[in-house]
Amino acid sequence: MEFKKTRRRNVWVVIAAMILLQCVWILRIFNSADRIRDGWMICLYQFPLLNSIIMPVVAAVIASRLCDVEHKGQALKLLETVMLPGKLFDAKFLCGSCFIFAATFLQFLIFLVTGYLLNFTGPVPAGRLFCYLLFTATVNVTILLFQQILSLLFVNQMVSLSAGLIGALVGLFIMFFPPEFERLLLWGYYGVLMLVRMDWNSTTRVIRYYWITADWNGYLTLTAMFCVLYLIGRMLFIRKEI
Amino acid sequence: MSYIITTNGLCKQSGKAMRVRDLDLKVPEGVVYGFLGPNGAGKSTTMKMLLGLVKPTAGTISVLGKEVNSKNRLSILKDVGSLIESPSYYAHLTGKENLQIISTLKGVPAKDIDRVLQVLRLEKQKDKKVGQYSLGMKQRLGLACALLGRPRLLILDEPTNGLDPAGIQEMRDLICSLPQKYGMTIMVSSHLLSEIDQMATYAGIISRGELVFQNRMSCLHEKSRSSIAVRTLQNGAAAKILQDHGIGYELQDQYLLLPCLNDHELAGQMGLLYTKNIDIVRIEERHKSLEDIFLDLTGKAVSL
Repeated sequence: MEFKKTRRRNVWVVIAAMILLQCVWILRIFNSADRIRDGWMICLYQFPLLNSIIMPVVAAVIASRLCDVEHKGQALKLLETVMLPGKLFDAKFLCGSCFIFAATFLQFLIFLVTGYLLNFTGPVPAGRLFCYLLFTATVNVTILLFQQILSLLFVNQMVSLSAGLIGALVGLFIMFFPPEFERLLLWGYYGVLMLVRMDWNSTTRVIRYYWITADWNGYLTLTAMFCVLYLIGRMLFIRKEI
Repeated sequence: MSYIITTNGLCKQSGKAMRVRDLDLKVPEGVVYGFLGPNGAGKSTTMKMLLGLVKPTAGTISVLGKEVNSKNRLSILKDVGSLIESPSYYAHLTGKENLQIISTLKGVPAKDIDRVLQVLRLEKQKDKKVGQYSLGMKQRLGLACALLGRPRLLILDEPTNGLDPAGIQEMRDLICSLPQKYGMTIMVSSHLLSEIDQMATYAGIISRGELVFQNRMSCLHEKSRSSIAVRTLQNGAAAKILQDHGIGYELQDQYLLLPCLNDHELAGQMGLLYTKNIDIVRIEERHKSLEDIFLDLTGKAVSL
């Protein structure tokens, strides 16, 4: 039903624009043989960075496109006489998640295809790629949930879109702060759950990438944040009077 | 008489303001019930409470013979159609797509869409985006959504708001025809007394959140009575003479308001005043309109 409502709302255009931007970015990165040697690591370093800027905005736009239809036509006062508000919240979130999962998977596909086409050196780090997919999808979905709550509670979609833009900036700049700060905010988890770190030697001006172990504690914290956010957001929406 | 809606001591408080106070509604089955009140009297809040969109601060609501609670609300509302304030729609979808969404959620067969499109005369506009509809068409679409699944009760909040005179007439005729055609009960709110007068057989009048009248429209009409207004150049002396002859009067704006006397009685009384050298300058018959009664009941001269 929610997909039916998104007809002519051009949600896929947002995802296509994001994919296009990432394609351009990846083509710009791999312009030397050195980089192709560390291809998988560079991808797993660059994409979370890119995600921290782009995905909060994409999530904000998707959530806004899905929820704005209810505010514009004052549809909630009719919908809530034929369905429970909690179910509407769940349905909206499932629909938005499908778009976010599709965007995450398409992005993952881009870098798999890039890896094969450019012949990245070394074996495919399948386990790490799977972790990346899982972590990215979880952070994206949690940010989408936050955006959906704002989009449903506030009629003025500028509130949620501004939150998305601020989130994008916070997500990027918080990576330059100590790791403890990253864990405090949703947008910081792109950095917390990174699988690759970069070491830049200022004298030789050489960049070295290296693997780090997955931060499962960070993942669990994020999952807990998701659950708490879901329960609070759903309750606030149910309690909202029309 | 069986009631399709009853409320007992219904209250709604927002902040410090009491928007609805101890409301005891009784809407008989199979009638058009007009819910009348000035702007801000609490009509929409009451209707939203009936539909469960707003939670009452106190009191109980029974719809279709069942007390409404959070568990049975949706099962009761399956037999209730509603149009609150302005129509609900998805502007980027066509009229038919809008109805398909609501019919799926209501669990109504798809063929019912064609029926309501026909009833509301929207067949030719069904494939047009609702964003391109006029306000009248949007209002009709809102009513079409409410009529999906042939509900037993329709709750319509100011359905003629913003319509042109032809649209108002059309909407009014349609509302009046529904109880006979489909056996529905309709609760319709308005701030326009004339509108309720033309549609409703029962009326409830709400003022400052309190119900000040609830009965048949005919009872409201009975309250409207005629009087004779007489103006003389010696009102004080005239009043004394009339009082001495057992005629009650009320002084209002330099007129003596007498009860509705028949022609012979009036001629006799006026002749008496003439013989006592009272100079009569005006004699008028006055009729107390429904508006006057409404103002008396609501106790304030508000914009109707």
